[in-house]
Amino acid sequence: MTTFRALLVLFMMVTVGVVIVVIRQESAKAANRIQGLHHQKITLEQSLWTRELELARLRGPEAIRHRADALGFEVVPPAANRDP
Amino acid sequence: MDALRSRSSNFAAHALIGTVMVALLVLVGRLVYINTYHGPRLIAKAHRQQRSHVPLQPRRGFIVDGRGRIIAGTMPRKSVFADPKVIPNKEAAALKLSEVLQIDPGEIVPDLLAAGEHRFFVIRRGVSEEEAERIKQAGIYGLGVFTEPYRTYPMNSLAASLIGFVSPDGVGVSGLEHQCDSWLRGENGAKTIIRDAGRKAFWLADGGYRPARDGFHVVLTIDLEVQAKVERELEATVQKYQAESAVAIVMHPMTGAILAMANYPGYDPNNYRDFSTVRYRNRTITDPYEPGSTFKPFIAAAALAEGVVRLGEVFDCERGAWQDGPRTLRDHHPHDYLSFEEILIKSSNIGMGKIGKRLGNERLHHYVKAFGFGEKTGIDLQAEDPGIVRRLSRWNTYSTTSIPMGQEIGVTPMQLARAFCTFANGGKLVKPYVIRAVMDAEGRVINDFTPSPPEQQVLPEEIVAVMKDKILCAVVNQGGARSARLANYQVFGKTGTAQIAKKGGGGYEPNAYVSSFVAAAPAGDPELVAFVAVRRPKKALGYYGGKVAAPAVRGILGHALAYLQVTPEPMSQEALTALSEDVDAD
Repeated sequence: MTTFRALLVLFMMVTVGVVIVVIRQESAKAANRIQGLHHQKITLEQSLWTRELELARLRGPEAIRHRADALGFEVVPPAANRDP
Repeated sequence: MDALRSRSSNFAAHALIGTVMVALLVLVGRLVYINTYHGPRLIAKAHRQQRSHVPLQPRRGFIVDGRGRIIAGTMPRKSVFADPKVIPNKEAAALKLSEVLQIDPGEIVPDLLAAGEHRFFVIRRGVSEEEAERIKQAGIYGLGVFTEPYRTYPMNSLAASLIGFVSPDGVGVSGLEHQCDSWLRGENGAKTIIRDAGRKAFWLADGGYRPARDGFHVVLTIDLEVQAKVERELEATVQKYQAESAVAIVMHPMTGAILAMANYPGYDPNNYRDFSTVRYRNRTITDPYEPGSTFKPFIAAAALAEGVVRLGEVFDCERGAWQDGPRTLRDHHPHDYLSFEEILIKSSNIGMGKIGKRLGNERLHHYVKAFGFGEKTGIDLQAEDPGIVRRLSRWNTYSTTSIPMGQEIGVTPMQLARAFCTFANGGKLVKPYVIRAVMDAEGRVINDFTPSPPEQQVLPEEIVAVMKDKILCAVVNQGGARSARLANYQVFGKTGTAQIAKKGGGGYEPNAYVSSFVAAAPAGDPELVAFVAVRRPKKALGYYGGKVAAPAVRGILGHALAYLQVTPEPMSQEALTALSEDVDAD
């Protein structure tokens, strides 16, 4: 009975150890995943920056004029600009 | 027998537990030993091996126009760095890199050799994604690729002298980029990464992440559509008259908001090193010049306000040459007699000289200062010049006739446009401004700089109405600025053709002029004031303000008023029947 108790104590210690290791492993996995997501967030943010600037370039008055010219459209002057 | 077995079992159990306990004690002892004697050193070593602190750079804020269009922004770019200390053969590494990038080794080798023992040295900024990938695959020891924020100007040269630029390391060094640097730059963050044995980022350390605070966005009053039109007009005018340069301002007369502020020729802030530093200057606020006839309305209004002249009063304009003491004043076109109104419409120097004598130096000086000349306008831009108005004690009898025709005085384009706003807003002196608001990265307004309505009354409203409706409209309908007329809006303004003073004094340069025109529209309820000055147009092609600058102002006002959807107003019969012949008055 005493040997059984000793083995039980040992088993419980091993179990506790394994649980701790598993928890540490999961924690490391989660931290690694967080790191990966963080890196992904930065990459996506940088991609967004690039898109924003591309959009800004396309929205610029001169870019619109050049685009219209390239497509063969005439940029009609505002009515107020006609000769009197 | 049972007792013997039981004793034996107890002994075995005690022995097992004892052995385990001893083993644990030994382990604990070892742990205590390591922690006590080697702990700090080992912990520090482990930190060094496993942890790395990575600075997180904030994104520099945008500079946007009044409609949210980005004028200056930040995007990522790939750059190549080296750790020269660990590179075994720098020359070989540079040669290999030049092969990968397909560039001349001479562009890299000297820099890398000169880098010495630096641990981080940027070899080449702004490589493409493909080049970055090729560098990674080449696996050159001691070389790597990193991503860095990069300031870019999607509108290229548009409003460049106002916006300025940043240095390669992202610090504002010119224009608004410099002035607003504390708002734009944001705050650095940092993260602590735990790395594995292969130095790969494994996880973030507990509490090891402090995000960067991105820079605030600066919102301007500038409207890029108006700005683009202004710059096109300046470029066309400078080329047509083979001039040296031109400047222009468009502003709202009621609020002082600047819609466009342009200098031609300008520069591209994306490649600012390719241009002369002279082009970086915002000459609309830094360079005073003698305004010439564009200054006459201010003195004429002062004379009306002081009651020294009456509407319709006739002046003898001496057939184009008037001997005033030792000095002879001349008109570009001789006139016998001109009414007060005609003096401005025909832009007679002699008539203005006589009006100046009626006012006298003291009142002249008072009104010149009251219109804001000789002191900074208070615009929210750095490096503004106060212009040149000498102290009253230094004025002499020449000043009495020179000042009314815009000589002996230096004004900046900004001062002139701002002073002209008084004719468009009921006589109030506005404070011009360019920065409308500052917003954080989420779009919340941090500072709103919209000014309160102007209170400083320079002229009585009835004088302003007379000047605007009876005189300045006639300058456009009948006078020297007929080329500024618009079909749907009544424009009022004044032309100027000023000679350029010699450097160091001693008279004027021959055949060197600044042709200018300042105007506002629509006369019924003025929405915009526009000023254009063209420096050194080729005389043979034209140099009068009415010929050189007025058409540019017409183009700007016509486009901007329609774009801003200002309700058209019918032209007067007088305006409709006015001639459209070539203009040769100043």
